[in-house]
Amino acid sequence: MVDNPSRITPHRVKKKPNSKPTAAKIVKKAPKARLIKLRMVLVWMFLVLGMGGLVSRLYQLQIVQSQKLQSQARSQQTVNLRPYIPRRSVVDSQLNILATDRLVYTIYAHPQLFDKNTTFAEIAQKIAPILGKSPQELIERFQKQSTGIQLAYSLEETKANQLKKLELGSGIDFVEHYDRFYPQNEMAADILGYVDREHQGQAGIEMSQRRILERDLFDISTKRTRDGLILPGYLPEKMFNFDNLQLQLTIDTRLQRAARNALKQQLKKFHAKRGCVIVMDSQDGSLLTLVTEPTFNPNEYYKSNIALFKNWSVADLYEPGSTFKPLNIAIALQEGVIQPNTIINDSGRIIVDSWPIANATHKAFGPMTIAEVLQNSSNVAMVQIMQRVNRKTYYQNLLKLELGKELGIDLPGEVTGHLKSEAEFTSKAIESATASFGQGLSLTPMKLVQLNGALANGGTLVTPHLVKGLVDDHGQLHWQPKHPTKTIFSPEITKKVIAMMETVVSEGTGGSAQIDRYRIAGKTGTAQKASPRGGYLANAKITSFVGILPVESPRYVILAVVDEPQGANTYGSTVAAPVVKSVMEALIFIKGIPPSQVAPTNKIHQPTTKPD
Amino acid sequence: MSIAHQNPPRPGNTQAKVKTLNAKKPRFPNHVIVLMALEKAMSGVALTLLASSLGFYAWTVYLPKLWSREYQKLETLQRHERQIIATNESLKHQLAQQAEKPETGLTNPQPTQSIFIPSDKTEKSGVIKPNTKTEEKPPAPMVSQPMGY
Repeated sequence: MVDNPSRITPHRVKKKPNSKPTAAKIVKKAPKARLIKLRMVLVWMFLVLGMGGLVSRLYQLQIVQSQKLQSQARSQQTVNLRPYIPRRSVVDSQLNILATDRLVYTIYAHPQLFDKNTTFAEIAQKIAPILGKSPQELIERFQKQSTGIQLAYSLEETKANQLKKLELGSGIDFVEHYDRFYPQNEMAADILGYVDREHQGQAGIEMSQRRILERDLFDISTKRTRDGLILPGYLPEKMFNFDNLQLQLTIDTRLQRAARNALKQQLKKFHAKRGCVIVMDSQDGSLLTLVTEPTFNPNEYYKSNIALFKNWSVADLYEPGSTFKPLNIAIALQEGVIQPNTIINDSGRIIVDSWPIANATHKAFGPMTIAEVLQNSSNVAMVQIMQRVNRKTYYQNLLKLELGKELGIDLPGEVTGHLKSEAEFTSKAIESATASFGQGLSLTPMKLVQLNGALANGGTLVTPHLVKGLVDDHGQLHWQPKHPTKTIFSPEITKKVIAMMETVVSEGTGGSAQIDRYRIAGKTGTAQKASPRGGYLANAKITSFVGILPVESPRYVILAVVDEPQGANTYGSTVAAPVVKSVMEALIFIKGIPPSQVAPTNKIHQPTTKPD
Repeated sequence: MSIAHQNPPRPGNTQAKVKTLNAKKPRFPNHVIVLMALEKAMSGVALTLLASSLGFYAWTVYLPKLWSREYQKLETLQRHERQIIATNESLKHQLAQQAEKPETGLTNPQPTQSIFIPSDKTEKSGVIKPNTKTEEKPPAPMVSQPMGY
C-alpha cells in the first residue's frame, strides 16, 4: 500500500477536486515515498532490533541469570529477625525469680570508623565512665588497634543503651546476646547450676531440665522494603506464639536462706569441710530446701572450683551411721522380731565373727526398751536386734529400701547407694552386724531423706524432686512432673518408729533440736568415714541429724550433714542438730505449723556431749 | 459528513458551500468501536489500579511503618520488664542480706513469736455467739468523706 499513495486517501482526493494529484506531483512524490518506505523500514528494524534486544535481555535475566538474581533479590528483601525468646525463668515456690535471661552486649570499637572531627580522647572521655574504665587505657587501645577492639563483654542493657545514646556511629559496634542472671547469687546455686557462655545449662536444674528451659530460638526471615521496613504480612504466625511459662521449683527461698545461714555458721564454728541441709515434704517428695556448702556464685561460675558444680547431696556417698538405725528398727518391727516394749540388754560389747563391736561411748547401757536403744544410740543393742532377723530376710528388706537404685531426682550426677552383694552379706555375720548401726553400706544424703520420708508419711518411698512444674505469671500450674511411689513399710510400723524417734529428741541424744511446744522426732548420727583404701579414716567423721516434724502428723523431714567437723565435741548432736533446729524454727514460721497440745518444756536441752 | 445542513443558514455564508448530511448517527468502523470499548475498559482498569496502588502503598509502606513502630514499643516494654524484674529481685536479695547483718538488729522469726489462734469450737457446732456477729462486720472506712469541705 505504500507504493500507491493515492490509495491511501482515495475519497479525500475525490472530494477535493482542487487537490487532485497531478502526474507531476506523483512523480515528485516517488522519491518521498521511497524515503518514507526507507524510514518505515528503519523504524521497523529499530523496533524489531529493540524487541530482539529486549527479548534477549529477558532471556538473560529470566533464564540465564535467573537463579543468581533470585537469590540476590531474596537476600536483599529478606531480613532475619530474632524475636525475644528467652530461656525460661526459674522461680521458687513463692514465684521469686531464681534465674532469668537478660540481654547483654559485647562492645567492639573500630577507631578507623570514628568520626574524623572527634579525637580519641574525646570519645574515650565519653565512653570510659559507662564501661568503668580509665580514658587513658581506652586511648592507648584505640591507638594500638584500628579495628575490632573488644571493649566489654556482656555489658548490661542499661549501660549499652547509654552508649547507644552517645551516637558514635559505626565506630562502636554492639553485638547482642543473652546472659543468664541469678538475682539471688549463690542462694540456690547448688540447685540451679549455671549456664555457660554458649547459653547451655552445665549443672543443676539448668542442665537436667534443659529440654524444658530451652525454647527454640528461631530466626524469622521475613520480607522488607527498600527502606528496611519489615512487611508484617509475611511474618509467620509463630512470631509471637510462645508461652510465658516459667519453671517453678518446690524450693522456698526464705527457708533456703535460713538453712544456708545456719549451716554456714556451723561449718565456720567447727571448721568443717562441707555440709548440706535438705528439707523435704514427705507427702509428695517436694524439696523445700537443698543447701550444700561451700557453694558458688552462678553469675561468676568461672571463678569457682569445678568440684562445687556437682551437688554432693546426690552425687557423693557416705555411710549413714546411726541415722540409719530407725530404718533397721522399722525392718525389725515389720518382721515381728521385736515390739516397742521388747527389752534388749546392752552389755557394752559384743563379738561378731571375732570382731568386737562396742558403743561409741564404750559404755554399757544395760537393759533397754527399743526407744531407749535409739535414745542412747546403742550399737550393741542394734546388733542384737538385727541378729534376730534372718540375714537373708534382712538383706531382702534392705533391697526393698532401693539403696542401689537411682532416686530419679531432677538433678544431674546422681549416684546410687551401695550395698554388699547378697552372697557376701548373708555369708558373714559381721556384715549384717555393721549394717545394723548404719556402717558397711553407703547412700547419698538425699537417699537418707527419702527413707526417713517413708517413716514420716506412713511407709511410702516418694521421689525427692525440685521441679514443681511450669507456671504462668499468675502462678497457675500448666504442667507437672509425675513421680512414682512405692510402699515399703506399713503405717502402724512407721508410727511406732516415729514415736520412738520423738523420745530421742525429748530424752535422748537429739535434745539440742528440741523446740518448745513442738513435738519433733529425730535421730543423730556420727559415722566414721570410709577410707578410699579400705577400712576407716582415723580422724574423719561425718555428723548428721535427721528431724521429722510435727510428730502428731509427720510431714517434714529435715536432714543436716556436716562433713569432717574439727575439734573434740563434734557429734551429730552438737554439730548437725542445732542446724536442724534453726531450720525447723524457720519452717514452723514459714509454714505456720501450730504448736502441739503439749505442756511447755521446762528446760530446753543444752547440746549434749553424748556421742551417738 | 458535515452537519451544516441542519443548522439555519447563517447570514453572510454562501449557501452553495452548505451540504446536506444524513441525520443518521455516525457509524464508526468496527475497529474504532472496539477501541472505544477498550478505552472505557481501560479507564476502569486504570481506576482500579489507582485504588489498588493506594492499597498496596498502605500495605507496603504505611503498615510496615506502623508495625515497626509498635514492634519497637513492644521491645522497649520487654526491655523495661527485664530490667524491672532483675532490679526487683536483686533488691530483694540485697534487703535479705542486709537484714542478716547483726548491726541491723533484726532477728530470725521464732516459733514462739507466732500467734496461733485456736479454732473456735462453737462455730464448728453451728452456734454463733451473738457478740461475735458484730465483730465480723467489716471495719468502717477510715475516712468516708473528705473532711473540711
